Amino acid sequence: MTLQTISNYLQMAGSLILVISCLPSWRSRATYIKCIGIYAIMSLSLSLTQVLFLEVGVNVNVIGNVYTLAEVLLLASVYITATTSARFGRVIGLLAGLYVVIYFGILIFFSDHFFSLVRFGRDFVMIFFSLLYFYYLIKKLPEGDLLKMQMFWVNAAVIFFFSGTLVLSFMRDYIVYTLHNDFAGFLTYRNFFKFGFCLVLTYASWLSYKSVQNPAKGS
Amino acid sequence: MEPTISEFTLMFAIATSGMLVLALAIVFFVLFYQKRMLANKLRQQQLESEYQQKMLLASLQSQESERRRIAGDLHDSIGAMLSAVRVSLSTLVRKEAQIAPHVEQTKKILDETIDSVRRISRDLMPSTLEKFGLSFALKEMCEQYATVSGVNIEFAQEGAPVPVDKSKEVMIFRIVQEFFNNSLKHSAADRILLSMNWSPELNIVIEDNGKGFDVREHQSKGLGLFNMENRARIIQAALNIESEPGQGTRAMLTIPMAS
Repeated sequence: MTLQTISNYLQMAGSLILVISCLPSWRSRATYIKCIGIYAIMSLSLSLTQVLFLEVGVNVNVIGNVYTLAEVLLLASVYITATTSARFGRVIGLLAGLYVVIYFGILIFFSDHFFSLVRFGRDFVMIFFSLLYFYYLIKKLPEGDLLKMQMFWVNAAVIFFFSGTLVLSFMRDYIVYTLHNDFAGFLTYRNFFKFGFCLVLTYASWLSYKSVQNPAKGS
Repeated sequence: MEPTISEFTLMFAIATSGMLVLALAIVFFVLFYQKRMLANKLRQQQLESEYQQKMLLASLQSQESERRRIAGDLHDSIGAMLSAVRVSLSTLVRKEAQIAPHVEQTKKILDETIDSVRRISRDLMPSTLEKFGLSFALKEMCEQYATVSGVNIEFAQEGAPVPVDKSKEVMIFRIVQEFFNNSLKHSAADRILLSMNWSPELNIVIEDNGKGFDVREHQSKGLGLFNMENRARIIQAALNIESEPGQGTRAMLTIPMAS
C-alpha cells in the first residue's frame, strides 16, 4: 500500500469521523453544524464514488469538479447560518453566487485550465470567507473565550486548510502536465492536510455537542 | 528554463509554508486582539464603576455633612431658642399668675416641639455615634425605636468592639437605620433582633418576624434597598438580604476590618 493510498483512506476516515461526530443530537445542533455534517457526508460519499470509479477505470475528474462547487456552496451556507448579521450573510451569498458564475464561465471559456482555476478560485473564496468572518468576530467582540467557540475552530480550520492548498490548486495544471507521476506526492500532502482539517471540524462539532448537552456552558 | 522537481518542490514548500504562517498569524492575531480589546473594555468598565463609586461617596458624604449641619443648627440654635422661650414663659407665669392656665397649654406645645426638634436632630446625626461609637449608637437606636414603636427590639453583641473609621460607622448606622425604618413601616413585625459580632470581621445581623417580601421584586424598585446596597458597596461590605412573603426578613452585613 502506497503512502498516497494511505493518505486517501485517511482523508476518508477524517470525513467519516466528522459525520459520526455530527450525528448525535442532530436535531438540536446549530444549523451551521448541520451544514458541516452535510458537507462531511458529501465529502465521504464523493470520495467513495471516486474510489469506485477508479476501480472500474472511469475518469474521476468530473467528481472532483462537482465536489469543488458543492464544497464552496456548503461552506458558504455554514458561514451564512453561523452569524446573525444579514449584511454578512448577503456578502457571503453574493461571493458564493459570483463563484458559481465564474465556475461556469471558466468551464465554457477557459476549459483548458478549468481544473486548476476553479480549485484556486475555491481556495481564494474560502480564505476570503474566513477573513470576513474574523472581521465579523472582531467587530462583534464576543465576551467569551474564543477557543471555546465552535465557529472559531471551524473558521481557523478553513483558513488554515485552504491557505495550505492554495498554492497546490494554483499549480495543479503545471504539476500534472510537467511533473506527471510526481503529482501523487503533492496530492498525498493535500490528503493529510484534509484529514487534519476534518479533525479540527470534528473538535468544533464536539464543542457543539457539549453545548447541546449542557446549554449553560455552550457558546 | 524549467525548474527541476526538487527546485519546484522547494518553491512549492516555501510558498505553502508562507501561506500557512500567514493563516496562523491571522488566527493568533484575532485571538490576541479579542483578549486585548476585552481587557480594555473591562478596564474601561472598572474605571467607570470606580468613578461612579467616588461620585456616590462624595454625594453621600455631602449628604451626611449637610445632615450634621442641620442637626447642629436645630439643636444649638432652634432648640436653644425654644428652651429660652419656655424659660421666658415660666418667668411670665410667675409674674402674672392669672394667665397661668392659658400659658400651660402653650408650654405643653412648646415641650412637644422641643422634643420633636431633639428627635429630628438626633435622627439626622446621633451624637452617641460621634461620641461613643457604633455599638452604643446602635444599642441606643434599638432602645429609641422600641420606645417609640412599642415593638420588642433586642440588641446582642459578641466580641470586643474595635475602632471603626468614622465615615464607615455612619454608613453602617444608616444601613441599620434604613432596615429599622422599613421594618417598622411595612413589615408589621412585633419582634426585631439586632446582633453584632466583632470577630474577626464585623458581622451585623438584623432580623424581624414581619410579613416579609419578595427580594427580587423589591430590588428593582425599592429605593431603600438600593440605598442600603450602595452604602454597603462604598464601605466594601457584603450585604445579604433574605426574605420571603410571610417568612420575615433577615439582613446580614459583613464589614471587613483592617487588620
